[in-house]
Amino acid sequence: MLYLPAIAFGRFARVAIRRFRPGGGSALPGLLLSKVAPKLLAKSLRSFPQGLVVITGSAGKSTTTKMVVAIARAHGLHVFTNPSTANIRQGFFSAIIERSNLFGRIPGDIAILEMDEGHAESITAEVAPRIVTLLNVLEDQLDRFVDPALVREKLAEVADRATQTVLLNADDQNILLIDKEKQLAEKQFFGIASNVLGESDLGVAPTYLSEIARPKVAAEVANLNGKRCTVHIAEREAIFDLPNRGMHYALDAVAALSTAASILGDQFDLELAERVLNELPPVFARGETVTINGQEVEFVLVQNPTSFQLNLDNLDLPVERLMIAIGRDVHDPSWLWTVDFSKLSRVDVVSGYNCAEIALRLAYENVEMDFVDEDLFVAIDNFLALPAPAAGVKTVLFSADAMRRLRRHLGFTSPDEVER
Amino acid sequence: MIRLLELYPEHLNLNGDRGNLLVLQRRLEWAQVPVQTFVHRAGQPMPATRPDFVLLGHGSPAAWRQVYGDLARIVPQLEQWMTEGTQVLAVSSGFAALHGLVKGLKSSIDRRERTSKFVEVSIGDQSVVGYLNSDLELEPFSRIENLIGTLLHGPVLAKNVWLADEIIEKFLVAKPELVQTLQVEKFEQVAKFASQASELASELARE
Repeated sequence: MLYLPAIAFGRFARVAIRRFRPGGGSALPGLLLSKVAPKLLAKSLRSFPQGLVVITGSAGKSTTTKMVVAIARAHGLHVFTNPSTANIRQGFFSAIIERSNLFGRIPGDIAILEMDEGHAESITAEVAPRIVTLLNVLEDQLDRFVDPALVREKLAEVADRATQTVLLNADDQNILLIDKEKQLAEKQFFGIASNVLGESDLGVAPTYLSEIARPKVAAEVANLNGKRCTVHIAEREAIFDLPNRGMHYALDAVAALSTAASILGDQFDLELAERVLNELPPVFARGETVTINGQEVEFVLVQNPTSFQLNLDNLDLPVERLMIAIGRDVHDPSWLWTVDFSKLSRVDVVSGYNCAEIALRLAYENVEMDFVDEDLFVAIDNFLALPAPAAGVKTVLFSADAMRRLRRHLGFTSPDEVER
Repeated sequence: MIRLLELYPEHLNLNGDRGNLLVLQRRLEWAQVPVQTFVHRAGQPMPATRPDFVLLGHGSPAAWRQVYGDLARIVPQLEQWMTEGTQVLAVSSGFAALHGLVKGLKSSIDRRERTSKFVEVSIGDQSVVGYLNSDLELEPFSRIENLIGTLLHGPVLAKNVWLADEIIEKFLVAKPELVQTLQVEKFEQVAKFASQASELASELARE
């Protein structure tokens, strides 16, 4: 009874905000509810019979979580999960408003949630997770955590609270350090075979400490050719196409298979999981192509130095029609200078709240820019009006804030519709 | 030839402060002044020829544990070079690390609550704007002869064009014959973006 007015209030706010800002308003109603009923979150998350699975780390949380959820659902589990843009506390409340009954109870067998390091630490202090998956520690998010050591401390606390098992990335020295310091009891490692990984470190933060030997892995990416990925797990082999090209998606896939195998135990069907991964659509704004006014446009979300670098390196440069938009979510634009743009020679359109910052960065890299305008809507209209490229599709790299604004402008009214 | 030296590049580029070196390098290239960049890593011998400019960037505590000992070793050489005209830019933890090593700087620095915001400070009739993300009890910007110490990221030379050009002028006063011609449109382009970016930053600093 206690939560009924709060949830009803949140629902009202959500509808009201959707009315005025179609496609937006994901965080605000949750923020309102979190103020009204702060204990609701823990209560809701404790109500799942098969417990809570937390997927955390610096990068790859969204994709990994989507993969785990899809595999679990294919096995018949009723899963509660959070939309990718709602991995913060307020986002959970928004999800609860949408899904829970008016007593704060969410239907479902299991909660599989992506959380950033900070929220994972505080939320798992209230609700012990059954399984924790630690993806990586990258050198970003500087104005929140400053030092990878602090991120490691938070992740170590989260890992230590798992009641069943912890799944760990064997190719991140930070994660191995967490394991060494906490002496985690129930654990399994996943990774990418060294011949596949090659010189790439996937942006992992250096520890500057003597290297910890790579432990024996339970699941490993054994081969990667474009999107085609081979994973060895429990002496068996799964071969499937990744939703998007890129080594980091292979890491997400092997993490997801390990996590799903731990969740499902004897029920885990590798062939079914392989089929599910193979059929997973690309994640919107992580390389999905959409059709706007009859022309194809690929949208790619860049959230931090690592994802900017990985996505830039993933493009088939030179891209004939490219737009870059950096919005207000980039509080400290200094990090744009940690991205290596030396392979980029030309951009058609540069825009967003931090337009001058990114343009300045690109100018010093001698990147040619045809049209620079702070106004995102003018910029995208100009970009869409350009002739279609002779090869490939028009590509937009944008930060989360620019994504939200463009989504509204282009008429994608439901976040679910474009995020899948 | 203008020589730009970067110290510990693998350790001290946490907030993109290597951009300061890139700004000087490009502005010199656009003026067709011959320029060479090189790096010093822990344990290596220092370059034999005196550089015109040295960048000491910002790094994590873990990174500093690896390079601080080497910095202490090379500081006498840096001090000698500064008396001969080398300009040094030290950013955030890089500036902090020089305290206790370089003569004339106090030997220890207090900590305060961390600030993460844009900041604008007046330097004579000029101002410097940048992003402050630090808990060090130091002035955001200070200049002691040939040593510029700042807590500001941005990078500070990208946002504050006048400061970059003051540094470059000092190189060229000694070697005026190096100046050939200017790629005016490049200078105009970055001037426009830098002024827009620093205007926005100074607006945010006042919020």
